[in-house]
Amino acid sequence: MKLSKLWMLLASFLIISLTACNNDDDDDKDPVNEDKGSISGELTGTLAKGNYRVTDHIIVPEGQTLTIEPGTVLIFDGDLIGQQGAPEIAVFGQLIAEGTETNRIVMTVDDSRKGVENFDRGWWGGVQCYPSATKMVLRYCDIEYTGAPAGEPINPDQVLRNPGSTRYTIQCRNVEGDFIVEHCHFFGINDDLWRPQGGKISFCYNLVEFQGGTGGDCINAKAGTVGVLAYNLILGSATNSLKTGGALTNIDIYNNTTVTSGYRRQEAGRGGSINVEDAARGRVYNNLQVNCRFGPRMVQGLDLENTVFDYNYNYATFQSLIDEFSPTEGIQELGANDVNSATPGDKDPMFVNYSVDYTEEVLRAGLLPKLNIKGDQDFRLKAGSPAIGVGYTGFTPVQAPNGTTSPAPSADMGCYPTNGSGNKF
Amino acid sequence: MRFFVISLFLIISISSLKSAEIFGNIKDSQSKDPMIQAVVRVDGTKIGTYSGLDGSFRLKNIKAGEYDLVVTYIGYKEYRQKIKVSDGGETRFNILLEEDATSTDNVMVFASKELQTEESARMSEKNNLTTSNIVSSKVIEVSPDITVSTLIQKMSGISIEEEGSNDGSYAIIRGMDKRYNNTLINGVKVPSPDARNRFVPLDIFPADIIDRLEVHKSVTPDMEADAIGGTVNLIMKNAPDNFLLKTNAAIGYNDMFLQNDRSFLSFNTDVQQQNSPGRIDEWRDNLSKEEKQGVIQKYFPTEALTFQQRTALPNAILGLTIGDRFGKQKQFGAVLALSYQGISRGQNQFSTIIDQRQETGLASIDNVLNRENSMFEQRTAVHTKLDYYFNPKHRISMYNAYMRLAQDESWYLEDSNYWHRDFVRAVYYELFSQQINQNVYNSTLKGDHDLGRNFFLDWSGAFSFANRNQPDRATLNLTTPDMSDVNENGDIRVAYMDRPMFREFYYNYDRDFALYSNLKHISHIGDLKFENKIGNLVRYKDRETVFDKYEFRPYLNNANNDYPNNTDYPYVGDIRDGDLSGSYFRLMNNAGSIGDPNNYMITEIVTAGYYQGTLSNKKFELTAGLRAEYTDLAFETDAYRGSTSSTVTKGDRQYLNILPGIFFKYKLNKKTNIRTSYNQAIARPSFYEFVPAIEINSDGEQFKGNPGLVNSVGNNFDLRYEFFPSGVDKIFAGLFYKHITNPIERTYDGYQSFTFANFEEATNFGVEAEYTKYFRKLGVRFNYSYTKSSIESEKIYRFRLTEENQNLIDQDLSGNLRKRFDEGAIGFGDIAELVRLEERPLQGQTDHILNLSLLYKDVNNGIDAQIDFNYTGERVVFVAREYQFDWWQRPQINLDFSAEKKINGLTIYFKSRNLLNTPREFYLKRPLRTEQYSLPEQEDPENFTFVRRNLFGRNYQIGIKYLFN
Repeated sequence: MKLSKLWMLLASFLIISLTACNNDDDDDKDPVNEDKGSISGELTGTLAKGNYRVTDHIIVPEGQTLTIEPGTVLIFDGDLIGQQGAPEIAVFGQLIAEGTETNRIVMTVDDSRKGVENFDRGWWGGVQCYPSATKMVLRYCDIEYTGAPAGEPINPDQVLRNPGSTRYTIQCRNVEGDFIVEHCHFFGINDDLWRPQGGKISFCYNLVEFQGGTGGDCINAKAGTVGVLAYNLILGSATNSLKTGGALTNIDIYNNTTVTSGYRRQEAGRGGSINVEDAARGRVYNNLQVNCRFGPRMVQGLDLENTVFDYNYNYATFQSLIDEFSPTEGIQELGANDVNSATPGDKDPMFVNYSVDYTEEVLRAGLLPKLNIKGDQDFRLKAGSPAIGVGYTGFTPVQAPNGTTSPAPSADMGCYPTNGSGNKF
Repeated sequence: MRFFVISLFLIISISSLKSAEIFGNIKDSQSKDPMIQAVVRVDGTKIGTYSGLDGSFRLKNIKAGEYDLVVTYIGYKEYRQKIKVSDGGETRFNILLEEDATSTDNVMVFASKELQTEESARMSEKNNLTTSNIVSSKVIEVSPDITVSTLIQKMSGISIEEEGSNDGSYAIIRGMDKRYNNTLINGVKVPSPDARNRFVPLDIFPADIIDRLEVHKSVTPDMEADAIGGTVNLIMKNAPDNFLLKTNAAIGYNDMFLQNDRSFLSFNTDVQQQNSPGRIDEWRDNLSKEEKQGVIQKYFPTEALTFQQRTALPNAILGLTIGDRFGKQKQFGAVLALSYQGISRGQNQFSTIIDQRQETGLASIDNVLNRENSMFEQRTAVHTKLDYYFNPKHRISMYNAYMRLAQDESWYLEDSNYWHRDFVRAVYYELFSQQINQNVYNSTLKGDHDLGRNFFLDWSGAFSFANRNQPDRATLNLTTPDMSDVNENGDIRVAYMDRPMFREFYYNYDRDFALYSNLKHISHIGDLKFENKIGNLVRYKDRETVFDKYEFRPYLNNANNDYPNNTDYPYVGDIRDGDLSGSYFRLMNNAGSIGDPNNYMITEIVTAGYYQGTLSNKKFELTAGLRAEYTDLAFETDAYRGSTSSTVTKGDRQYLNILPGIFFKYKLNKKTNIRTSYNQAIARPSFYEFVPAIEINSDGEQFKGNPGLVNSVGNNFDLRYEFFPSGVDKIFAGLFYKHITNPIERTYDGYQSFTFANFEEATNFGVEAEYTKYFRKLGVRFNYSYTKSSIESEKIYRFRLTEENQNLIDQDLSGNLRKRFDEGAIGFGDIAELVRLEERPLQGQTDHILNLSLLYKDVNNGIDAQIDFNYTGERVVFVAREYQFDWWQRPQINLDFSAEKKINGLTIYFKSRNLLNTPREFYLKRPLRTEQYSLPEQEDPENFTFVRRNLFGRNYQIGIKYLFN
């Protein structure tokens, strides 16, 4: 390693250290919430608003529904010794966790376990929709510090991960199911955030921060999953932000903003932003990528005949990234209507508050909080941004699952259309 | 007929200038069989020889005069005849030796049944009820083979399933793979150390502890029925009739390790935990990075991934057999055999990872891998047999055997990732080490009783134990962040740990308790002999497997709250060395793999009974019978070891098979048989195929055992013509047909879920021919078989749905596609997947197998030499889940050579295996995507995709044997 590189790293650690200290969660806990003690085991009906300590799995039995009231705070209290004992919400029936914009549902861990340094610890097991689960709605939820390894099966006939392997924060495995994740805030996700293995999905208007330790995609859809990924703001995914694959997988990916993604997967050619592979198809429009390791990528084997990548916006401040807007390993050329930086800093989308005050080395190191956490950065577009009005709206997105509608595309690139209809974070 | 029982004082010499020759044949006066290695000498001179393999002899350089020609053979009366020899003359003698009935006088001497000789093997092939092939230890001794697994593939109609670096573990008999064949030791079934298979791998047995290797291609009702393909029976050494001491020592080397750039990658095997640590309670998340590293080092020492590149150790082979019979009547016999083999093995492997689900039906290469394996293998066997005759009518024997195969294996792998393109996108490295220790123990007490009135009883009680321990199997993956680190810096590579390190513990054991008994009654009606036989078997078996896999991820942040990242742990230098110093890991799952489907227990009780009757006279032999086998199996997934968690899944299954058999042998004349038979046999599912625990693979697909599986039943028809001209010569020609119902194959639900199921049927047809002929000093052994089998199994087929091919929608066995089409989730122009049947040969079935051995035997000079040529045709080695994507193994030719020279009691020998350094190559019968034609090793990408080549190097050994008896 060259000396200059070392200095850069040292400098970056310093920056990280300074910024990291005050990053504890200070968000939406309702101070008036009642402390309602511990819960675990089978739960159905309505979980009334309050603060709960979850000491073991919450199990929603097959055919039953659990509704979580807005404002509820769940503290998942995993076993410090064996993370396989770490609780999860195990959905065999239906889970409705619908907060409101001002009264969010929080799923987190004890304060002592929080902190940026714990972002990839995986303290608890997330929301696991087993094959019999037919519905999951997560709206206006804050979900943090997930990705603990799986323990012994709750129901040996329905298994999503082998014991000992990391549980992805959200999983589902029912081709008939409806799975909705909207307006949620994810922070500190070990490995993939959501790995849908079939079903109808909607992943829209979410904010994702610090996802993946040494690997993991924000969305890694497989096996005939159908749905939409739209209006998400994704910062610093370890590998890809949005990835789809598998026969019969049909997912439209539009109006997402991905920032500085793909740097904690060291492997050459891996990671990046959007990826479509292995017989999957979909339309990829109006996505805005900022300093990502690679631009949107079509991987050989995807359903090329039914897939379109166009009207995407790639912005980078380093030449090496500009060179990979059209990834070397991908099979497509850049879309005819893409907007791309021609030189570092060219085609600045003019975010309300975003400055590139890091070096390429720091970026490639992948851990600077600023690259992974929204903080006071604001990725809305200033008036006069070249990203405004240059997208494509002439398509009807895939029909979303029951219980929501697929958002209409916007001609303003990224997740913040100027009319305010997009992401609320 | 003891053709190696030779007086040591015989000296062969050549004298005289102008002289006469005498020659001739020596035969048994009764059977007219040639007498091999009878001592022929001219009394009063130093002239003498042994008769050859066809009973012939030739004595040269005899000066004119009168002599006594003397022929001796143990157990026969001395032959002595006056001869008159004149200069330059040639005289022919046809000598008949008479058995010496009086030599034992009134003392009854108990002798063990002679099993070691080829003559006895021929005799058994001729007289057995079953269609069988037998190799004797006399043949094994001089063959180039040192394990049973390489030996057996030279037998008629047999190939061997090769796995990993091993020589091959399981016999494929007439195209039927390991599922369909059982393995017995002295007729007793022993359990397998293999966690996924019921029968013992053959590479665990050194060749030098067996008296003979028998393969029965049909089974009579008095034999265990789980042998649709056949039964491999290893007959271990018996107590010799007289004191015998045999020792053997050899050293050897594999020429792979003589190549300049090929070192042996060794690692310290002493420090690893031998048992899974289970749940590690010392692990706390609030420990410091250094403290955590201390815990990791304690349970998962870095030595498992620290390597030394060194010169391979030479191979060492040691053997000792000692035995005798004691007592006035030699009523007590004992034999002890010890065998040790320490072998350094190497393997160079080129392989690819193929995407077999491109909708175009073309293969697409994802990765190209080059792997260097190093393995140090130690094979130890101890075997004892004691037998005691209470009197001529009652005998008891005790047999004990312990076999151990310990393998320490490591590899270094370079993985070039093409990701479906025509250039390398990334390079990964993998370092790997594992220890596999397999043990098999068997103890059998057996009694043989003549109960009088023509009743005969024999019984056996056997305890067997097998286990396999694979402690701390360690895998570390490294990756290159930038291709320039590979391309430009040459040997100096920089790689990073950005993928998990895995440590796995896998242990299983099997225990068998078995009781066998057989009662036989013989009666005569005129010239008809009538034999009635009944018997039973009870076996209790239990098995347990325990599995733990631990995942470690490199540290991204440390206790000081600064954020070094994985670029702080670059791997600089020669990756082969493996060095984790300075690296910090986090243990992700300190409770191991609680609930993993590989943790289960099985018990199985098999109860069987049979009747068989044999009617015979000089012309024919007819056997008919019925065997009933009742299987009672219970399993328990031990989801939470040591607890009584509600998630434990239990189940059981019982089934009864009634299996008829009829065997007919027509004795055309004394030397010729025509035999035909029909019998039913079964194949039980492997245990893990039963256990309904779910295992998820890296693609998220799930595998689940099926507790509803039933036995496969095979109907076997056999026809064989057998001609035994003389001595050990033979000519066989035969054909067989097998129809199997309920064969077990993988099935797919069209939605990410696989299981095992009973399919409708499989068929298997073949012809076999064998020819063995000995001339005076030369011998030829030849066999050829042709096999053709057929089975249909479910495959996944990915294609683009169009109006033209929409008929496929309703051919989808999963029904999933029709449903999705009707829902509108898929339409014309979309990529679709369905499940359909594909016909193929049985896995492992080879069309042509040809073996040719040329033998040279000069008894006078004590020289034996042998060349073995083997051709094995192509076969399916791996059944893919994707339609038309089965992996085929290319036909291969093997050449082995051995030679030995006796000097007094000593024999110096040379054995060499794999003289052609034959590659084991796999390919797909599918074209490659055009873009990837330029990829390495793709020679005919328009037709075939090359997927793997393994090279093993040539093995040489030189040794010395000493025989005293």
